[in-house]
Amino acid sequence: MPEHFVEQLQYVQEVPRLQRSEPAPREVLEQPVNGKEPPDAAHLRRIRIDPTVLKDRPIVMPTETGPAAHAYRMMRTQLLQRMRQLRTARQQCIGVVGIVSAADREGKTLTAINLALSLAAEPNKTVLLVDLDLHRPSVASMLKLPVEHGLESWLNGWTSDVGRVIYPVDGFERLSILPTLARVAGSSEALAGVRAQSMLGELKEAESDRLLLLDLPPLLLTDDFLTIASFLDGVLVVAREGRTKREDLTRMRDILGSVTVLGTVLNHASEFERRAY
Amino acid sequence: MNQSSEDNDEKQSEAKLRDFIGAARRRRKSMLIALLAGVVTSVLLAAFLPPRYQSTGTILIEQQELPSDLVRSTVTSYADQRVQVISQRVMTTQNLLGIIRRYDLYPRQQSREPREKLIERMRGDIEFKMISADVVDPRSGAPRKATIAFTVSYRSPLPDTAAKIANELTTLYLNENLTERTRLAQDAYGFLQTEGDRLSTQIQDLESKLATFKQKHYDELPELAQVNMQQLDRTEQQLHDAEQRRVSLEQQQMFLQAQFSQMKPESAIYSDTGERIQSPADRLKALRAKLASVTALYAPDHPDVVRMKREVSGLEKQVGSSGPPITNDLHRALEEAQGELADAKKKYSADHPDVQRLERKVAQLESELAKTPGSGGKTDSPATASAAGAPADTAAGTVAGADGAAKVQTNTSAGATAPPDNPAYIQASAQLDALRNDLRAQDELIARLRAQTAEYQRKISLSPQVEKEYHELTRDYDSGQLKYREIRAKQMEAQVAQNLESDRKGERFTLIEPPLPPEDPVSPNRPLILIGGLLLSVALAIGLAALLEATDATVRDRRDITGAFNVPMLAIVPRIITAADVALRRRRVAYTLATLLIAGLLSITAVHLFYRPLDVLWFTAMRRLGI
Repeated sequence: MPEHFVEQLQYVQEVPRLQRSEPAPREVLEQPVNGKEPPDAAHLRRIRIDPTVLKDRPIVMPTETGPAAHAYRMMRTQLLQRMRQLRTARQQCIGVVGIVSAADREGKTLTAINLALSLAAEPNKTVLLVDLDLHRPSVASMLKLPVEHGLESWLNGWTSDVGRVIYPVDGFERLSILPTLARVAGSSEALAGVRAQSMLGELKEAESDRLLLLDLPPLLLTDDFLTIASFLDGVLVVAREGRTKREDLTRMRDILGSVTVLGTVLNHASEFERRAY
Repeated sequence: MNQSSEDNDEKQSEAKLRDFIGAARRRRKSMLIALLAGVVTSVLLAAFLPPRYQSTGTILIEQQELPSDLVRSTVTSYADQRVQVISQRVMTTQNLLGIIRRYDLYPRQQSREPREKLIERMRGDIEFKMISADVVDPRSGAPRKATIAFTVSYRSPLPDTAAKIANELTTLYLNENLTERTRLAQDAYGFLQTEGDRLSTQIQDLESKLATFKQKHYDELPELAQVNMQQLDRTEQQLHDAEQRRVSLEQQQMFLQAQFSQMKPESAIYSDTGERIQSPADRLKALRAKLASVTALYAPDHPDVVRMKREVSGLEKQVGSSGPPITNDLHRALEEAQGELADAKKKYSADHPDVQRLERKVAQLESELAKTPGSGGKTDSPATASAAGAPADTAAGTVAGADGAAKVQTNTSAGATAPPDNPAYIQASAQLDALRNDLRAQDELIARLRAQTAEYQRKISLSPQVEKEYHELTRDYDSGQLKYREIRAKQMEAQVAQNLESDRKGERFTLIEPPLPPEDPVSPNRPLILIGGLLLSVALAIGLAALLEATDATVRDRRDITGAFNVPMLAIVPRIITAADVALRRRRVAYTLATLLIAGLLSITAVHLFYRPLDVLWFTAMRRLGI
């Protein structure tokens, strides 16, 4: 690959995403479904998260110190532990975790993102964060992702290759994101459709080492959960202190039914571990 | 076992404590706001509540000086009862309104509020309290509370007003008490006076009734009953005597009459041989008697019978009248014959010749008797005049007397041709006349006495009835008198009681503590308001926090989640503060402060312009707080 061409690509990537047109290199490069790139083209596709995001959004980098970062680290470790336990118990691969909450604005997407970042810092683990909240997709907006196409494009038929909307993240080798950039009408039908179902199945089967983190829509406010429940190996329940109603928790439990709850997370806690070590 | 349960309890109490602390932390903002609001309010109240001054007057209830055995007062209720009554009289709408108008109290409310509210306000500012002491009732020995004094106070924003009104009220109380007492005493006196007068007229009435009664029934009065009885006895005695005398007179008369009838007005002529020559009347009488017996024996046509009849009629012509002297003889003969006839009828039948003969005799005698004038059937024997003095006897007596007189007259008429010259005859005649007069007089006396007796008896019989009526009248009169005396005595007592009141020797109210203008306000208790306000604010804050906690249905604690999902908590993530958040908060705080400042300035300006200038408020507050 000619150097100047690479530089051009880099420059192009740094232009604000709205002004960008379809990057030609995408079509040039071969894109396997599971997002594995040829090493030489990998850095071409990696998206960079805007550094200002850190200031404005409560995104927690794994390298940070502080109680929040610590909490996410704990979360990561505990989750992996639980997954290992489950694997031992079920004697099967556990790789698909859904992040759920009862209602909106409870920190579900934030948890998903931060957890994904934290997990990606763990060696031996690759993470694919999928924004499956087709009603109000917020992963891309939260991270201010400089991309133009996401899952909605794939659903609409812009491309038949879902790999084209899976983006690796710059600075996090093991993290990829499958965002949704726009609201998808009839989401539960779309998800229930054959295409989506087979896509999800493929995603699941593709890599045994890869952890799929699915940011799911609010359990009590939508009915999408049931369409993808069969794919989940487990869920992570997210609640926010002062916002999640106590009875919502019980209702969630009822809806979750037989799906394994790997663990729970409490956001906006007033009591948390402040001690530093 | 025990230990674990103890641990559990400990854990539980720990948990509870943690809950409280967590809740407090969560709600600290609201609690702070509530606390602040409460504190500010109490400070403002403590600083700016207007003071109220209270002026009190104390009135002592002094007992009657003179012992009540000496002089009894007409006022007989308990002291506290009276004080309450006086209180009611003083606190009338009229009085209070008068005071309000006179001293221009509540100037702001006078025009706006209705009268009833003004009065209510005034009543609220007046305080009336009784002061009692523990005494031991001397009679029963039981401890009792006796009212010895009472206080009247008035509350007002100005000390001078408070004193003035309190004075006004105490004066009202004292005056009311006085008027009440004098009125009571006067009423008692007046009442007794009227009663006394009424009784007096009643008694006069009774007196006149009694007098008329006495007059009407003078003799029948029970007082004279004794006298009447005595009179009756005497009269009866007199009557008895009179009747007795009459009887003897009658007897004399009869005796004399009998003698007289035997006498002839002329002296008896004796023949040479000494035989008395019979007068033709005597001869006639003898012949009649003989005729009667002969008629009985023989038939009417017997020559003896015929001869005798011729002789009798000849003599009758000589004598003049058939004369009643024979009547008695005839009667006797008739009776005799009738008796004989009855016997014969018993023995024999009607055909028997004896019976027939006797029947003929009876018939003859009856016809003879019928022929003689002046005989009206049988006459009773006039000789018995009973001492009882019955009127029937009197009549018989008079008839007998008349018979006697007739007898005398016959005798007189028999010898009418010649004046009586028989001295015995004359004497007897005179005696008879005298006796007759006596008898008449006696009869009159008896009659009079009888009338008197009857009168006395009548009086005596009426006596019980009269007595009853008399006693009734006297009884009414006496009781009336008694009552009257009583009333008059009581009236005099009431007069004394009146004097007791007017001289102020009875129970009286004395003002021992006149109402003075107070130096310190009685309310509000500013330190108390401050402290109380503070405590209340704390309570309010806690209450608010509790309320918020209770109504909060959201997740507050990890336990809420672990309670719902039986899986371990993966992490507890704190609120992540971004730089943006910080900036936002700063902005918000700035905005809030700015708004508060502007609002504060505006309100202060408003207060300064529309309520009171600020420097005045400042000085007021300083004064109120005592600086």
